Amino acid sequence: MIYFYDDNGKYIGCRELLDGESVPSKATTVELVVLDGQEAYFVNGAWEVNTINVAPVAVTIEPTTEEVLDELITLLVDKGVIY
Amino acid sequence: METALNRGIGDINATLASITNQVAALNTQTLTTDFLDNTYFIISAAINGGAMGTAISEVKHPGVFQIASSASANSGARAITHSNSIRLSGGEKTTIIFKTPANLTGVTAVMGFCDTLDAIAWADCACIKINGTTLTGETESNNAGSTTGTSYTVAVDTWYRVVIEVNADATSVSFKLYADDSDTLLWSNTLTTNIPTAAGRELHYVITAIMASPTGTTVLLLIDYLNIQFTNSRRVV
Repeated sequence: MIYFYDDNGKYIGCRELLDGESVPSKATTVELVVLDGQEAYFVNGAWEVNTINVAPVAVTIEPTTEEVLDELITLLVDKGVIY
Repeated sequence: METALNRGIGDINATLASITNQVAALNTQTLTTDFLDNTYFIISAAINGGAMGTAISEVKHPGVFQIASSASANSGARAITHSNSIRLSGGEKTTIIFKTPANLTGVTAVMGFCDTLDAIAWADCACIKINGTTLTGETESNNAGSTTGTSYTVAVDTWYRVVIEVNADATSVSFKLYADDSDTLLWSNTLTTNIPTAAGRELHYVITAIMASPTGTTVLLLIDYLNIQFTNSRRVV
């Protein structure tokens, strides 16, 4: 496996090394085990793994097409326009 | 020795090539959104109570939308063009800049040309699928599918740029995954089977994500940019 990292050393994914392929720049064969919710940084030839602190995300929901249609249908039924 | 005549012919050829390129560009229909407002061209819809909405932008990522789950199983959202609005004929290309969430367990995302409405089932596609941390390229025609022979394991909480390109005669579909804001090619592969081009195999353009067993509202996918090009459809000039 080759493990890619970005300019800051942050792990950005991995894949199998292809036949005859040399290890690309900003990648390493140093093995990494990273779990869901964890990030890793390649520092001085080794991986450092941290747990991501997920801040509560305010999901600003836009009304979807279905929701707008549902509201419209409800309104039209209430007004007696449709039955 | 270069003569004045040769130079003249060279200038004419260069001009003709330039005109050809300009005509090709004018005949390429392009749809692009940076998700800076609600006028993006795709129709959004919830899946099992999930949602699609605005997210906080980041450096070099202006205008970000997110797909989120509800607490219901297999919930999320989709953004699509009109159903059956596209019949692949060669020359289609899409570029998507997206970010994985902090947790990918149970998340399925589908991006590209595909007729799915729920990120679970589809009959026709030329798209990228992310299942957990495994990213693959997929083609499917009338329920007969192909998957790329290699895959890429994406990291959580990471931006990527993906490019899906159908070649001019629709005999192959290439998939390329790049690191964020970079020309670093992380993974690529090509499929040459089960490309849905026949009559009845119409599909739409979709970006969708669901989570199998969410415990509450959870961000499943962030989208910063998308571009769709039809380089080989009818002439407009």
